[in-house]
Amino acid sequence: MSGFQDVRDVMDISGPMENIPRPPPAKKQKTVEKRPDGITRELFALLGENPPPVAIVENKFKEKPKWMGKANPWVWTPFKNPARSDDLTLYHWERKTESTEDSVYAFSKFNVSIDVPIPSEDEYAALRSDDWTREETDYLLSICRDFDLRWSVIWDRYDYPGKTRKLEDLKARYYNVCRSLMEQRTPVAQMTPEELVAYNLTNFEKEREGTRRAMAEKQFNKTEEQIREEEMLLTELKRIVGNQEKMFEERKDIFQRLNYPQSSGSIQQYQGSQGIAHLRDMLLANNDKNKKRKSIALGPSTGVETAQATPTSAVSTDRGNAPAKQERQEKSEQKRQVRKLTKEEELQYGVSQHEKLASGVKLRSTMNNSTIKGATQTKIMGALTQLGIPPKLTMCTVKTMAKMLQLESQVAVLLDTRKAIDKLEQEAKVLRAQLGLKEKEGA
Amino acid sequence: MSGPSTLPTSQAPSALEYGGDEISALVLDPGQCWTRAGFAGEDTPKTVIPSHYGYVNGGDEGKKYYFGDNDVHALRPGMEIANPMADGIVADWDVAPQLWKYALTSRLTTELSEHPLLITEPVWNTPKNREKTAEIAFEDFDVPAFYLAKSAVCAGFASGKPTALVIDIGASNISVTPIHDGIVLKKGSVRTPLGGDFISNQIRSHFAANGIPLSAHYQVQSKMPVEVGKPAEATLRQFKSGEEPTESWKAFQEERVLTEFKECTAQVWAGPGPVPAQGTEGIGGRTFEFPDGYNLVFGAERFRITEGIFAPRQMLIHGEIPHPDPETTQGFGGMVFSAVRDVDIEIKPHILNNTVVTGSGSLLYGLNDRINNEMANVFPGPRVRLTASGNSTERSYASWLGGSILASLGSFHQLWVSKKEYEEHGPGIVEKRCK
Ligand SMILES: Nc1ncnc2c1ncn2[C@@H]1O[C@H](COP(=O)(O)OP(=O)(O)OP(=O)(O)O)[C@@H](O)[C@H]1O
Ligand SMILES: [Mg+2]
Repeated sequence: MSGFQDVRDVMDISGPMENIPRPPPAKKQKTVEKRPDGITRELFALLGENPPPVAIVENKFKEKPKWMGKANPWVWTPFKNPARSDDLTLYHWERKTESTEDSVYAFSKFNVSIDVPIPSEDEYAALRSDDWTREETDYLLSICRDFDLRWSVIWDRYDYPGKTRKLEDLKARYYNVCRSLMEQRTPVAQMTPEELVAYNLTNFEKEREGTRRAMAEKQFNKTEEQIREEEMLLTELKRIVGNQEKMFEERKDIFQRLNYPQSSGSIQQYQGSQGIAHLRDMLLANNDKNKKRKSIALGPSTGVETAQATPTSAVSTDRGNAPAKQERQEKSEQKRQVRKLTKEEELQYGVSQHEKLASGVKLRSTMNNSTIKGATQTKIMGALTQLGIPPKLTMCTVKTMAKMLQLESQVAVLLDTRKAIDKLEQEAKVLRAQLGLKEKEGA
Repeated sequence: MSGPSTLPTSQAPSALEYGGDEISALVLDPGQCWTRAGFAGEDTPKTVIPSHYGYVNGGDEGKKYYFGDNDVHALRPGMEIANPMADGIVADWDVAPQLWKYALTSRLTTELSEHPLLITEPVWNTPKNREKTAEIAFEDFDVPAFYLAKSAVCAGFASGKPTALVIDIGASNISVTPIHDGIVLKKGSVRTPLGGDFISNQIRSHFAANGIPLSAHYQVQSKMPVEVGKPAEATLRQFKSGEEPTESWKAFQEERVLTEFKECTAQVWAGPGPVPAQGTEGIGGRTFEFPDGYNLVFGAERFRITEGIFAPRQMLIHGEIPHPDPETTQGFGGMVFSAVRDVDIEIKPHILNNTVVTGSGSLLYGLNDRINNEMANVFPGPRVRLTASGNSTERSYASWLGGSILASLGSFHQLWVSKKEYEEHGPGIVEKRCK
């Protein structure tokens, strides 16, 4: 509000202020219009003048609370605690209630104690032990009662003259006593299921407890180096576990490669020339079957090379009923595992790599692998005959075939070029003829 | 927020919900330095008076005793200052009951026979002392019911921990007490006399060795500001002969200045490791102004004053100023080690994870960091977690507060030793009931 005046002051404007709107006097209380029925408060608040953003503090006292009913007094009441053996009366504040009958002190129910057995005179006979006198046993039982079987405390406070006992000794004795007393009071055969559970719980293995505690102690007393070492070992372990998976896979792979098909039958029948002949026939038959199966699987042969009569495929057919899927997977794995040969080595061993192999055996000489087809081919043949080269190679090797192909394609290019030259010459001739005509006309 | 809604004033909270049932019991926590008293169920003691008292040897009517802050600090010719406590437990059974009565009746109640009374005691309290305490409570104070609670257990309860390792740094001792389910484990309870009084004497030794004059507030009538290290320009109060304060009273007044020094200047080397012997010159100093205006900057010295807690062999020794034997006294680390060593392995990790630091002495600046480092050094394996209330009042009054919580629990009321039981069994009953 004062901003307007400030601006005027800064700009050094003085003059009549009559027509300048003044802020309304601050203190004036707005009369709040009564909200008509049917309009929600929120909606009404949006209408007309907005309420001031700051709540107006009214200068008046807090309203007197409207008490519902009469005040209920608190009374300084004596009470007795049934958890106590004496009748100590303490006092506390309590709501005044109409009922006069005594209620049980609410907290007495927290007074729970643990049942520690007390052996009778006769029962002691069975509890006799060289190590534990009757007095000490009594002392142990009483201290167990005092500290509600909190063993850490019992061991801490255990103070029998002339004896220092380990915690597991105390536990063992206590549970032995309990067990023996249970047996004496009810023979095991007659125990109820609950009693049996309790009975079995008293079965205490002192040696094991001792070892466990010794181990816990060791764990607790680790030195800094040991901790560091342990940490290191843990990370190492994590690494090893992580690698294990990979290792397993690799191992499986190696096994697979070392694996060979186990012969299922005896080879007796294949011994002797007759047997061998039979075997050969069988293999051939298998091979045929295999070929058929493959060609069905791969579709009509469009391949360029001989292929597939490899020992592996024969073997896999031998294995017979192995699922095809697994077989294929194995094969692809094997292919992946093949060591790559260098160019020189490939030449040396006469090995070649092929993207895709057609099935079946073919002779190179019967293969027609030239890429040029139809009329061009016959023209090439013609050209070759002109040059005195036989259309079929007498010695078909990969190299000669490749050279042949190269030659064919070069011849094809030459033929193409001649064709183009012919065409151009023809055109030139026509154009020249036209030129001659024009000159004649012009002349 | 839809948290627990506050109950309307006309409705009582369910008593079982918070376990409290206030029976207007009184709680008294007598310490070497302060005696604290108040009603159970409250969060701070209403009465906190010095355990020191004044007495004037009168002629016929015997000694006249003075209790409470106002009287012990008043300048009275011939008034001696003494302490009924020694080593954290009552040594003078003539005065202690009077002091307690003063603490309980000066502003809490006039009728002790209407209020059950819970008194705290250190673990090393003697059986004779315990019986005597019960005797005083029932026969002198005529209380209807009485209980003796261990102050370490109470300090644990004040932090809500019934199983804990309680490190109490009081005036007379530093005590380390393992507790389990609200019961002290005696084998692991250890203490060393390296508490607040020891630190006071360390400061005195440092001042004496370096010729730093220690003045007290009562001496100074007026003073002028002076430069650091320049002699004080103050007018000192002159006493007529026969009206001079006694030596013990003077020492008591000086003690207040030493406490001020502990609060503002003394500091604990945070560690890890002890204060280095060399290379501490660059550490920023802290100025302390004595009551007469003399002021000094304390650099690394302020760490050496407190180092004795952790390395007793390095304690400052000067002239006649009393000190514990540096060779046989156990330092903090050794003490914690032996405390935990003698505890059942089952609960060792548990109590270390619930380490409670209390006592006004633990308010020394940097102490918690050092304790943390020392404990990590002693126990590299298990996890150590310190609990130290950030509220200094709570830390000073932790034992009282725990007693206050205990005595206001509904389930505790079955544990009181009643007057009837006392009459039946005699004072020996505390030994049986308050374990
Ligand atoms: N801020 C503080 N920094 C350091 N020390 C302090 C601080 N405040 C008080 N003290 C010291 O703490 C000691 C008092 O501690 P506390 O009140 O816990 O002792 P107490 O319970 O009376 O004694 P005790 O437990 O030995 O019987 C005194 O020596 C006092 O100088
Ligand atoms: Mg204390």
